[in-house]
Amino acid sequence: MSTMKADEHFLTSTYNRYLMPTMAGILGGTVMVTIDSMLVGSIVGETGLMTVNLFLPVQLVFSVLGSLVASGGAVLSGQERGRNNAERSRQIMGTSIQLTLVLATLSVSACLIFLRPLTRLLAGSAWSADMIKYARVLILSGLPKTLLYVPVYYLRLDGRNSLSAGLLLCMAGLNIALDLIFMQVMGMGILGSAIACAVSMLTACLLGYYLLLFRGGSFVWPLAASRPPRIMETLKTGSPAALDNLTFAFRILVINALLLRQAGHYIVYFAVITAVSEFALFFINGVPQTAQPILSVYGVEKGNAGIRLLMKRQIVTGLAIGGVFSLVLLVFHREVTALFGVRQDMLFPFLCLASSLLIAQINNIMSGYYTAMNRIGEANLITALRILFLPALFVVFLAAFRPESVWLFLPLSELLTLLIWLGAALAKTVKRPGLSGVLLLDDALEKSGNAIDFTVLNDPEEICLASERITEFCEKNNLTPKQTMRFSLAIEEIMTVMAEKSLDGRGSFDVRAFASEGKITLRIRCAGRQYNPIPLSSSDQDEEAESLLGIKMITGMVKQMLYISTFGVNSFFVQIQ
Amino acid sequence: MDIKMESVEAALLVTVSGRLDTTTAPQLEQELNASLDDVTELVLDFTELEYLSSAGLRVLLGAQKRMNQQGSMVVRNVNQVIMEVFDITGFSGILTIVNHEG
Repeated sequence: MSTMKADEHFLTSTYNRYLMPTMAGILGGTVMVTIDSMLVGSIVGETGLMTVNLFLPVQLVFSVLGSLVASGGAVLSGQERGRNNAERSRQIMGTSIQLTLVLATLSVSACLIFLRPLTRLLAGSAWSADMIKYARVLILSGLPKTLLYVPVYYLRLDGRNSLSAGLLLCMAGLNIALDLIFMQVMGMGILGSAIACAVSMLTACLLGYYLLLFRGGSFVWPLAASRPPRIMETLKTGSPAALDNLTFAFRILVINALLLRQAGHYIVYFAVITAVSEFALFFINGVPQTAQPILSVYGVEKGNAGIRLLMKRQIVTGLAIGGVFSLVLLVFHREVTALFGVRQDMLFPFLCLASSLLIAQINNIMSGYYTAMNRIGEANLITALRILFLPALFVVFLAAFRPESVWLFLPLSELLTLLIWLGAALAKTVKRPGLSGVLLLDDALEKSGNAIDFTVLNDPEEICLASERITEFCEKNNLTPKQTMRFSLAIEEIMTVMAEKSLDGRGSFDVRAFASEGKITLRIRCAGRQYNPIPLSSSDQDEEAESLLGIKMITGMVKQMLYISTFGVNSFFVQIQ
Repeated sequence: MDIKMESVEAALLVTVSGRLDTTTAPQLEQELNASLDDVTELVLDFTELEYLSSAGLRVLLGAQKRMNQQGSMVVRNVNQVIMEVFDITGFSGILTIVNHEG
């Protein structure tokens, strides 16, 4: 019944199980940019590569809109599903599709109306008639690109992650094939790349909606809209996902503009660096994204040991993958450069990129940690510093005084970001001595011994023994007989229901009870089918409510009862009055 | 959990002590089913009952339904902790609860 053993087992199995699918999902979304840049560079040449990079911010604007609505809508739909309200969950998806369509149509129309000024803004004096043709088709592809985010997010919500990742990989595959046909065989130049992009986006979009609405799953045709539409709630919830894309769009825009003004010949190198960086997102974002939902649960239950274990695991995994990636990049730097059709030696830019990736991994893990702990401001500050503000600052400085060293902006901006949050954390520990380490965790609970953790086998006798066991903890914390009863009942009732409805007689439960700030909290966790009995216990259907009598009883007795489902793990938080 | 049964003509006194939970409730159910034939007055004494979960409540509900057809059922000497369970679940309105020796 050791906590650490339970935590380590839970963490290792859950984290490992979801790391690869998360990384594959990210790769599916980013590999297209990387391979597209390679093909354009090697077939059309450096001018083509430069054009792709100059217009990347336009593509990213559509990504911002798509991720903003789709991720926000998917979270709200997931919450409604957790409350067992499938119809409302489906209605939110309908509204998300409508909203995405309106936003995409408006933004595509605006970009087409202002096509010439937009091209001059992005390309400066390097603009050409070919660029305008390229940009027109690229902007048109923004409509399916934005709409595609809805099936991608909702297929994931439906647990069809491999289908979602497969859809993106198919789109990348089609794009590559069409790139080769249009640019290599038909000799259409950079315009061919834009057409390939538009056709593959449209195909993936149609296929995505077909899979989502007509091939099983929870979100079937016909569409229905949510009343009220909950638009502001959707946009607010989707803002963290969109912020990443927005910051990245500004980074490309700002650094392109600075390089064009001060070191124009480096734009091509920057295009290669951007394409490789996009590819590297599979681990830079994949490692923290996998851990984030689990960290959120640990944050609620004040499970500092689990938080530390998971942070350590992320650092080790991230640095190991990043180390191998950087090594391969440096050893094969000539081959990688050649893939993009660039002839000059790029060892120095790649050396800067490789070293920056390792620090970026740590910064991103920290940003993910702050997000999970609901310290969104600090998380967004790290993102904004490392992706936009510090790179822009260093590019201005280096391009003006040492243009040949401009690539140092990559490791320097990551390093300075690291030093800034480390310094801020240190300052906080000095100000509040109770907080420990860079994670600023309050270990008072562990030190006082006001916490108890144990594992319970899925067996009626074990469950009842656990219910008795909690009495000792209650007595130690001077709980009244009524409070003790509530705690004991919560264990028995929740576990009995979950054993039947979620675990099918298998598995086990992890229990944590802790007293903090005058409140006593109980957490019960089990890996199994997602099942939230709380809203069902007050259902009008007699049969359902009858089987959940115990849950109804607990809900009436305790101060707060919360259910969270993450990565196939059901967690209950019960706060006693 | 301990169950003691005393029978006087058509009256049955059942004294339950300890924990009435998922594992012990079937035992009480079984003993009641075997003893309720021809009983017209059932008294459940909870003086020493420390814990009552929904599984126990279901057994009480089943017994109450049966006794509605063949006589009466009274639950007596319910402590405050158990009373809270009855109040929250609405069982205090279904059961006849008497809180004194009698």
